[in-house]
Amino acid sequence: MKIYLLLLLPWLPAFATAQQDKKLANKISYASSYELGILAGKAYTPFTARIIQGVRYQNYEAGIGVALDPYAFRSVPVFIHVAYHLYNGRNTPYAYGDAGISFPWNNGALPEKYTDPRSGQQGEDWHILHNGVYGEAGIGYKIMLNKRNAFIMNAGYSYKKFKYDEFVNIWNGNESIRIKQGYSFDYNRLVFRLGFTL
Amino acid sequence: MKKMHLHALAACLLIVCAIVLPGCVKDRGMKRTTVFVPVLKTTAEVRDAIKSDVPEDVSQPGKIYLYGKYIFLNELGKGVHIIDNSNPAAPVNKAFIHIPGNEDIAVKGNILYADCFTDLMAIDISNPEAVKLQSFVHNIFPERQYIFGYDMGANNVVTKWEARDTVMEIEVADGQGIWRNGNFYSPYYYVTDNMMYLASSFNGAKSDAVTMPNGKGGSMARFALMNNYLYTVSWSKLNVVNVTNSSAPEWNKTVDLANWGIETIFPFKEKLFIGSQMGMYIYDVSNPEAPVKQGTFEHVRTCDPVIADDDYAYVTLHAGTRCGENFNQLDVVDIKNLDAPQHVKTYPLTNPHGLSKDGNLLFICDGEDGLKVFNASNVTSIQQLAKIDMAPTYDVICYNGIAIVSAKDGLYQYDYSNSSNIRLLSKIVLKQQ
Repeated sequence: MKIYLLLLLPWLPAFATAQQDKKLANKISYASSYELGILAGKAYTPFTARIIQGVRYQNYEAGIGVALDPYAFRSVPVFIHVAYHLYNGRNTPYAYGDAGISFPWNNGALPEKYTDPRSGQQGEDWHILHNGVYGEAGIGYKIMLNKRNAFIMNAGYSYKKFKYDEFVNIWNGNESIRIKQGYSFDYNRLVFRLGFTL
Repeated sequence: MKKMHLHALAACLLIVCAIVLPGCVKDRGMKRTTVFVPVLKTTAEVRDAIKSDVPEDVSQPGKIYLYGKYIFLNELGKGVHIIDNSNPAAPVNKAFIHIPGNEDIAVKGNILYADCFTDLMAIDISNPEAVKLQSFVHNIFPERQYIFGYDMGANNVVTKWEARDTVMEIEVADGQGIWRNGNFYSPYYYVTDNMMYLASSFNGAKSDAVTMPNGKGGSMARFALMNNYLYTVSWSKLNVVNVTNSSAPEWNKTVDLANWGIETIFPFKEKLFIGSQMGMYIYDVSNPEAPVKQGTFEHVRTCDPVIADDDYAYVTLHAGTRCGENFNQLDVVDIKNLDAPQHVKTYPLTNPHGLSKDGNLLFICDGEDGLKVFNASNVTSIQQLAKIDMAPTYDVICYNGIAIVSAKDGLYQYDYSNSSNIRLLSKIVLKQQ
């Protein structure tokens, strides 16, 4: 449920977009972007999407974003976004950086509890998922469609960490013992996106 | 126009990057786990070290063997406790024999037969407090050379496993740590030359081998003595060992049972009743060196100890982690015609394991339900006489009015000379893990 709330959160300010008039370039103004793209990693290349809501001031943008990141283990990163545009109010290259937390979104592939196949009753802990850090940095190009809206494309490097603990009963040659083993994954990807800003 | 060219150039650049650059990035996975490293001894060292040591706490009881005033109790994978049971109300733990890999025992005369991984040991126990190895049969259980794929070699044994916390790298590129087709691929266990990385999940269920102590002369033994022969069963084989000279056993032959999942053997009147996961097999040993299959009673795939008397065999089926089915019951089988055993009746139970019969009294270890005592004078109408609540029970031996019961928390002895007033005589408490 928390995951769905995270996904909905950035959309809320968008309802106010229509209410806003054009702002002068040197005033703080509302900014949002909606992007689709691919995460190109060593393993494979899934699609990704993200939404950023924030403010724009002169050549700078800052905001909060949420993304859907299906690479390796599906997760929902929530992050702080900052960007610097070379030019203000016209077509421009830009650079950006994101930093935040990646929330794993389990579809049952790593069950939380052991389940008795006969009774269906849940038993001891099995997997515990942990949030990991998330970061991204890249460059892009913004093509103004009108004075406010623009088409954007960007490319960058994206990193997310995924960790989980697994409890297993193992046979050590003489007896069965319960141990906790930890897994930690560093996923490094290149990201390419297209989108638009409001 | 110039702007359009710039936009097209930027788009092309992105596409080229998307195709070319992913090969430059690499995922990385780490696993923090417990690695068990075998501590090896040569078989010669182990044989030299077989002697009576100071008594040790019982922590993982295995098979039980009664001999004279002594109880020989297997400590799973480690050796044999010698317990002086002169007074069943106050048994005394007298000594411990270190036998790595020991799971099964039997006693003939003053000789204790015990497996030590691949070998069969013949140990003189005439003075239980100063036992002595008499001889051994090498490699009679060749399948025991491997533990989860770890090959000890023919001349080594694993005396213990040392746990070490370890961090290892995971090959994410091989698919581990990657979600595909709805599955997240976790690393599995693997074995190298000198280490055993154990990380395989048993789905939360503890291995039967850990918690299923067994009993001599009862339903869960894998060694059976009959006259001058020792019969042992393994996964699919029956070994015939001539013990006419008790201290120098001779391995005569190995019979392929043509079935797998063999679990128990019960000797009765020149017959061997062999319990397997697929059924009960009756072998005739009129010629003790040449067992011949005489009858079969097949059933669903479960774990099944078996005992027998003149006319009937009693088979308990229980669902277990290794056994694959979900049946918990007692089957009574008419064996008056050994060539064609006939099913008589099934009685539902909770999770039956070992069983024992004395006269008309039938004792069944029914897992979480403790020990149950039945009147089996009429096999078509077996009546429960008593239910003794206790920790989960695994096996029982009835002898001379005393029932020795192995349970999860200890070894109990009950006096059943008055079946309407079965009373606890003593309990050897297990050392907590």
